[in-house]
Amino acid sequence: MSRPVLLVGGRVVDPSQSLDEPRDVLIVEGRIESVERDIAGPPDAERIDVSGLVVAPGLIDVHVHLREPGGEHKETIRSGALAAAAGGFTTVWAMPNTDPPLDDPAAVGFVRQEARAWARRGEGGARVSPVGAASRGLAGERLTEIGGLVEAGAVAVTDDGYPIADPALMRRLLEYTQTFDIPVLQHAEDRALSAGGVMNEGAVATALGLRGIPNVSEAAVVARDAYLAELTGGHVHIQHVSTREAVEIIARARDRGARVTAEATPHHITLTEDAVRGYRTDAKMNPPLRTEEDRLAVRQAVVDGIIEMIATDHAPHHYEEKEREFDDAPFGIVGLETALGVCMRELVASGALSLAGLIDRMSCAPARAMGIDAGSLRAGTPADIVVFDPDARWTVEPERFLSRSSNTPFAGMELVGRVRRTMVGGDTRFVTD
Amino acid sequence: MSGDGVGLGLGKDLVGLEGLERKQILGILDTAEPFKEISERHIKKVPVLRGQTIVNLFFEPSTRTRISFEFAEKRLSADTVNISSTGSSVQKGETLVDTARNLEAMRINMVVVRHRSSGAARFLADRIPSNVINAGDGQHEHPTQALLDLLTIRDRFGAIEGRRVCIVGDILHSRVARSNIWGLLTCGAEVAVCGPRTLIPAGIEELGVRVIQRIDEAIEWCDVLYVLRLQLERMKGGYVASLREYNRVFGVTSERLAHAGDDLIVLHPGPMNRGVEIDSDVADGERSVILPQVTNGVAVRMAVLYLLAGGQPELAETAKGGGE
Amino acid sequence: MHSDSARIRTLLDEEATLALVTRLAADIDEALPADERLVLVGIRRRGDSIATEIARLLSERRGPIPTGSLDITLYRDDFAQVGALPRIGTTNIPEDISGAHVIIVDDVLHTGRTIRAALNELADFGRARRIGLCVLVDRGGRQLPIQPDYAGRVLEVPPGAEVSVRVGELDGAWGVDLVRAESGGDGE
Repeated sequence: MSRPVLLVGGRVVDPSQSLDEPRDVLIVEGRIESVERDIAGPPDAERIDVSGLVVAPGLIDVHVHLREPGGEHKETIRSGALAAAAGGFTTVWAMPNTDPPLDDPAAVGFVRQEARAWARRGEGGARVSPVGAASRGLAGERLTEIGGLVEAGAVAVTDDGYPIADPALMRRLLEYTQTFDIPVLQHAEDRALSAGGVMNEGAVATALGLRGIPNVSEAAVVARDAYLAELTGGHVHIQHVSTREAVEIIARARDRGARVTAEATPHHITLTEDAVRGYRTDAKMNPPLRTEEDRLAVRQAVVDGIIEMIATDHAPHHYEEKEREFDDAPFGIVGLETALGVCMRELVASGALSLAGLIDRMSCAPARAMGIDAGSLRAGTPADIVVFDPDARWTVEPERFLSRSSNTPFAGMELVGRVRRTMVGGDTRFVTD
Repeated sequence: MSGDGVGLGLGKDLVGLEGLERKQILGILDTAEPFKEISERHIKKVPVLRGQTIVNLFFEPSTRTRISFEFAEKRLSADTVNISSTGSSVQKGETLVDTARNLEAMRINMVVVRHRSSGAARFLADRIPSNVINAGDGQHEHPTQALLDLLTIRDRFGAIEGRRVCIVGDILHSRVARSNIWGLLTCGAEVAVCGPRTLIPAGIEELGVRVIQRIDEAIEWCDVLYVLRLQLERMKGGYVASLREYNRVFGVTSERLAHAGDDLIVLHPGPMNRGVEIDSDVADGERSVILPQVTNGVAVRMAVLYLLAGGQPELAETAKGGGE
Repeated sequence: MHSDSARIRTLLDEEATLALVTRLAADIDEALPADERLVLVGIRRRGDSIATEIARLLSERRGPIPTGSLDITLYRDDFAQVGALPRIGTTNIPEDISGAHVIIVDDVLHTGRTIRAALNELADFGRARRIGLCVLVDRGGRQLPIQPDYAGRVLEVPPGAEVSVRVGELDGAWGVDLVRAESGGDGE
């Protein structure tokens, strides 16, 4: 680890420095030393040939479910971190809806220690930052001891997979979190409106005989929280935006200066409710896949930057849990190992967004918006780097995932862009030919 | 044999009417005709499915549909096995998958399945080699019900094409409504729905269906009034204030039908809530074809079982020729 | 039933065919006592046209003869091989056959399996006192021990060929044809 590393011959794409050029990258003691043409480098440096490949700041995913503690048959901190690294991610934020939930300092601390312990053993993947619960037991009633959670390593608070439903509680959270300068992550859903719903409300749900979740279930809560952010000056981050209405609300709130950030998932910018036809449970998630109009609005918002970042909402489920009647199957799909490929195909290969733009959405922007010390290849920053082949075409084979779970609607799809190496602090956590 | 001996190409299963072609649906109705005659005989049995085992897998309680299927199966000389299982909410998923595996292991020829989850019939059909017939899956489809309804309408009017059919009631939760919508539209009927707005599902117009606000307007417009049962749970869900309110606004009463065209007929899938969605004098009156629906039910189910059990169209082609 | 590539040779024209029908009616009339309670049952789809014609001829001497039609599709023994044939005709037996002398009427007798199916189906309608068989053409090739009581013409048919009977109401004119498939498949 103390040996310097020199990445030679790559195309460095670092939007944080407006850089997109052939450059070498020198890493010393786990940090970026320099990014220049034809670096000679110290004689003991490990030289890695990355010609033909893109070298970018490691991807950041602020929305993953690692299932540990309590759901280890679906995923563990170790397997999830490794899957993240395989997907090019160097930092992931782990959601607190575990069992027990991450609503006290011991639980939060456990997640952080566990990830680090695996790294020390040489089996580490991406950095794992725990997100603390906003309310005790995720019950939506009483605040958790946020200061204590932050001290134990929490980087944000949320009640995800549940919404923070009580507006008074949300207000308190947006006020209180300012002391620690952390965001409140909101899974925007009005559960009275979405009750019993398993997919998007509309003609497809009607034909399939499934209960639907209307757009307003998301929009109403986004609107409320945008106003609360404006009122309090706090930072609300809207998770997995799925509706055109939410996009509009976020844009207007931003214009008024409210601290509202937002994320969209690769599946919401790629798929619609038609993916559910045939009762495919690997197309069942919350918020659901919606209409083409919604998909295009969310996609355009990502292109325009109204939605600053991509986040996967990686939600592993065991095969048998998804192998059941649609009503009973759990919500969620995995996403870490397909995110880059799906977004490259949907946004970059189609010409909608430049490669630099995508790197920004997947690395620089989350770092900026969430205050993460990453998302850049500036000299002095930790060497969290992704090296990938931007033109490689590959077919998704879920049984080869490093994740313990394989619930994905992208099985068999041809994607563009393949991760070849992921480095965290200069240490290679994933490499493939 | 006539020149039309080729099979209808229904495939292994009957999961729903969505996606069936007009000639397939009409072909099933045509096939039901001779089976009606068999039910009038003294010995109501033909040997065609002798030796086949059919399992009636009913996860939801049902008397009339299950008995109708059982009659149909026995009149075709098949052996029938009834399995009823409600299953706890936690175990439902395992139950269906495990049931599928068990059925496969037992080499059952045909399964008739009713289940509370939409998509359950498709789920089973995709996993076992037996023929699967959907007897009602959640709110999705109940194809044999719609087929017997179509047959009943055709019996009365000679054809389904051009008829105006209005389905009244809780469309949102009704698999019978959905199957009928698909079947009627495919066979060229005009379809409308009428009921409390709270019980009309989103996007129904996109399926090709009109929405009529008031029952009087519906009665004026249609030739066929299809009355759905209003379930008591709808009161709990807050969709309808009370049964009395429902009857007041949407009940099919003889007063309302007094202004209807002479040809208008009334159907109901049963069981009826007399005095709620339909008054007794209508249910028992001249416009009602509710009892013929039941008779047609057995014939239609015999036709479906027969067609699926013998679904080998290439061989049917060879059998067309040759006197014996 | 005849593909475009089949070759058709008429063996009996309308006059000759109707003459056979007339002779069959006469044979039946001669064989049975005048007061015999007769029911003619024709096997769909052409047997019943023949039955109707025979009944008409017999009724000139015996008074009205009840006539029915039988569709044997659901009683065939080859369901497993052949599958569902969606065109099932209706069966119509006009009165209770119990105690009656039923004569089954068919156009062509070949393997005998159709008649076996007809016998099974008739049994479901009652216990006839006696059942006889009347066919317009007997082409041999029996696979079951079934013989006609009244046969119009016995024909030897070369392999790969079919005998096809035409009746007035369905085919325009009566006749008996020999039909060969161009490619010569096996007849059954």
